[in-house]
Amino acid sequence: MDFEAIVSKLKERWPEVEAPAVEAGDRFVIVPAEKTLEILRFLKEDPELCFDNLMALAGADTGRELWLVYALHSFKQRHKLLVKAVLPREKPEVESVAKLWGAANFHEREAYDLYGIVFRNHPDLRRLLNPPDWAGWPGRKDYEYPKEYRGVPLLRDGQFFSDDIKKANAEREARDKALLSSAIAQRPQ
Amino acid sequence: MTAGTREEQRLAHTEEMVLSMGPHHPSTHGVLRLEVTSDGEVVASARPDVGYLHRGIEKIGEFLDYRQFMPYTDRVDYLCAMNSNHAYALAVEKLAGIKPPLRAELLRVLVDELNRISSHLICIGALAMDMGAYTPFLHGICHRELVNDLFEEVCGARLTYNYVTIGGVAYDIPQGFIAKCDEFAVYMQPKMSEFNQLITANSIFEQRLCHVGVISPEQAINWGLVGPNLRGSGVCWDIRKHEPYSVYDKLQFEVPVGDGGDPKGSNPRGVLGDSYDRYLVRVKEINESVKIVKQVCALLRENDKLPADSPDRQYQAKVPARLKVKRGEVYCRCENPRGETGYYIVSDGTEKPLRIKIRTGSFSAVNCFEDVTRGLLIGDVVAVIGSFDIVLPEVDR
Amino acid sequence: MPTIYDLLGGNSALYTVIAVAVPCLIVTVVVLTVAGISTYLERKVAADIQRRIGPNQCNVGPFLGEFVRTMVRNGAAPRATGLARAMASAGKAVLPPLDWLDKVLGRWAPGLLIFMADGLKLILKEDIISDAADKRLFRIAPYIVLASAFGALAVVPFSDAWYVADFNIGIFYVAAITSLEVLGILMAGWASNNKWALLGGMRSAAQIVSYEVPVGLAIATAILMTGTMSMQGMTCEQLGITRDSTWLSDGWFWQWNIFHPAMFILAPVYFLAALAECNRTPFDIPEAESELVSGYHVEYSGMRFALFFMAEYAMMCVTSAIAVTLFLGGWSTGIAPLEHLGLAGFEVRAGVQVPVFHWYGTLLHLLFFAAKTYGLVLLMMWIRWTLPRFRVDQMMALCWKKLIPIGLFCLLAVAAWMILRMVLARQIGEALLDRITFWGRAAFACGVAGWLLWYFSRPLTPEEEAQREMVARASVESGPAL
Repeated sequence: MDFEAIVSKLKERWPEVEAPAVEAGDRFVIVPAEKTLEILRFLKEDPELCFDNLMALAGADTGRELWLVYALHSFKQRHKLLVKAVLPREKPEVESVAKLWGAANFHEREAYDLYGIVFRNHPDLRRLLNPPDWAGWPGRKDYEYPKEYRGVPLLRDGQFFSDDIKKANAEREARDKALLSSAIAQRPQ
Repeated sequence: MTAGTREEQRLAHTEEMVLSMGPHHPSTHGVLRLEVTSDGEVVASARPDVGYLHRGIEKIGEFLDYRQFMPYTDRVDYLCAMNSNHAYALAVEKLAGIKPPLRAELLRVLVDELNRISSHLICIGALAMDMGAYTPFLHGICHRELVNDLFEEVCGARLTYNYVTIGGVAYDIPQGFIAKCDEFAVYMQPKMSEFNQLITANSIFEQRLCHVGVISPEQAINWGLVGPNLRGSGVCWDIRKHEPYSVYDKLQFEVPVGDGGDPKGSNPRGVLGDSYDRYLVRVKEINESVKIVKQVCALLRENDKLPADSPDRQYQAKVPARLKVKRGEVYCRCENPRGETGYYIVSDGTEKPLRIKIRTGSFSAVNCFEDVTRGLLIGDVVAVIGSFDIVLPEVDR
Repeated sequence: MPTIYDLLGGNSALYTVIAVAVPCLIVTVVVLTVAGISTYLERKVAADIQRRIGPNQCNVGPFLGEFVRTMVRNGAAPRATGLARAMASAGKAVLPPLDWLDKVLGRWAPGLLIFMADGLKLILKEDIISDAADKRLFRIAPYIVLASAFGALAVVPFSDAWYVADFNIGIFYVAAITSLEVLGILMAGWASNNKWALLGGMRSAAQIVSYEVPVGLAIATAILMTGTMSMQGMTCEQLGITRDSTWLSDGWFWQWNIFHPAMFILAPVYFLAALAECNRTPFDIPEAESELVSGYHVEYSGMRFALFFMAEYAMMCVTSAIAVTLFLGGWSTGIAPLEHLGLAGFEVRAGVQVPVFHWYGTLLHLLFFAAKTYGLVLLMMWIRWTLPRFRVDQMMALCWKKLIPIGLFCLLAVAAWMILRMVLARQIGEALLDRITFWGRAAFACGVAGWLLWYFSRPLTPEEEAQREMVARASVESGPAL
């Protein structure tokens, strides 16, 4: 089935589904965040659509809102679909699809880790790639790299040393300069 | 026998042992940590704990040009860097509407398949090494050295090549390279049967891998397994065959699929979807890749005969110096040795992408690890890790 | 000439002590050196099988030669002391043979001194014992393993006149003392306070204790066959030379135990069990490097680890020596004319006629014993680098479900054969029976040799032919010339 056919089938049941035109790349379907589980379940279990393979599940941050994108694929029907849910930044919550596709488990954990998207009813929602007590959502555009982690000062992009080390280095440099100039002054001519 | 008094029960109470396999461990193929809860030898649960190699490559991509990101894709999976480069280039070209010339496509496929051979050699060698047979790994490394030498001639590097660019390849091949690739293909052809005599046909090896880590086809699809892991479970799906990209639709090769339990197949004593199936799929894929290399060399020889200024003879399409990609998104995938590597790229019309998501085969393998290894012995856990061909930089990015 | 006894002033206690201590010392030092060289050989064998070169850098020249040359240079300095000059001239004298040794070793065994370099390195390493480890057990464990391996050497007959002791229950003693290594391994696993080490120790204990049974069955069968538990006695039985044997009639290799059909089946069983006792692949689960990262000796470093390492190689030599004594005729050459050339006569020891050989005969016997034992050790190394390892349950199944029934069957077969022999001897007489068994075994041995010759010289199947041709065409060993 081609993209238009799939979209019309979805729009029969959920008219609020949109399929905007694109300049380049793949076309996608935007679904409301509260209805993701039922729409995806329909996509998986409908015999004509039969999306039995979740290729990828990605979060994205446009700067304004968060996206959650499901890339689906069907082995039987050999068609693909991109499904997108737009989530608000403050409280991004969506139902987990881990019981539909086991593949979603780690993907959702990664989306939670990087973007802070909370998946309700996920079997084991905790951080995947970062340490469990890491602060912040690293994938987001407004993420600030922490100054320290468990008491260890962290290097930061564009600023090579933390403030204390910078101060200590400046003091040491001044002291060395003073020593050097006094040594030069005292040298026999 | 009655269950003793409460005091006896309390005294006989055994606890499960929590072992931490990794992150420093010779057989976890990188910095994978498994929290193994076991009752002596039998594993109750083996939970993977990844993230030790998380470098934030996807986020770095948001600050770089499309072209500047190419060396990072090498490091996503360094054992098959050419394939990783190719996957990213495909995705960007799809989004930007760039079509690479024929010679570039042929060269891409050539280096892809050579890299597939070398990556599979490492995988099956490492699996044999984890099973205690140290020799096949070193034989594999011996063959792989020749591939490394070929790659060094072509792009100067032995591991992270950065050879495939957006729109083509970085350099044309030197004189005599096609002859050397042909020689390598002829050299490699009898090597797999020698390898099979050494280790594949060994009954101890078979016993270690058969009936271990069995994954049925439905489970494999549900868990999102890809590549040889999926084909080892009997699902015949190869992106090169079923969604062909580059020049794969012009090439003749077969897709090996696991056939455990079939008395006339290659795994008569096993069961469909066990570790031996996944291993055999990789061994057979090496032979298929050798065939492809030969065909591509023939096609390249024909391509050489074209005049030097013909468009098919170029190795790089004309891509503007500052590549601005139109607004849009794409999910494009490519068959890596470890499965499908999919790039989901979102562009907002500028030179830098908005989001790059890299979906790799080892990620799904680590995902389903806990369910597959329930109830196995610790030696089997090692066999399952090896047969999944998990490479940690792919998982953590 | 005064004997050592006289020199000691007839002090029998001191004499006994020296008579026991000196052979023990010699044997220990020799076997330790052989174990050290085995580590080097293992790496070379591994490299050969894996198409590499292996260690080739640590030679006599760079190691000792440079040292001697520096001595000579220092002695030629202007203000050298008398001692330095003396050492320099000694060095000059030693230099030509040293260079010749370097040339010969560099050609035939490059990198030989790596075992000495490794030993030095291990001694100089920091001795780390983890805080929560049981320190006393941790320290004692390597010595127990080493002692059990070397204790068995006390009864191994290296030649007809060279052995430390000849117990009348020799082989029984060996079985007992090699079982002690389980204690050492369990101690090491437990005292390391490390779950991986504990797992390795438990696996090893299960493995060694299980595989004691096939070893015991093989030993029992050999005792039945030869009628004696003394290892020297067994060897003399297999030698077969009595007062009335001519220079062709007795002393051939098919009189060894292995050429009896039941023992022929039992010999591989014993060999597999010996591999398991030494924790060698395919039974190296306790030290499965890729699963347990070194298993029970993971916490050991430096010389303590070297002791475990030495014990493993010594155990290999010991079990090979026992296999040679039980099955392959011990120190006998297997070539009757050679035996009779060296034969000096017979003497009575403990009521039994025992052949006595000239010094050249004894030396020849020692060489043959060493060759046979080391051949088995090399076979163990070959197997290690070819085969993968068993899983724990598969290994136990192999022992209990396959090796032990075969061992029991062979034991019963040999017992039945002994009874049959007794009955037949009454019918046709001992001497005739002797000749019949002699020629029967010769036929069996020739059958085995003939089959081997046929197997390795048969024409290739078409696939093998095609493969050989393709390989030859592709100029295989160095690959394409790049």
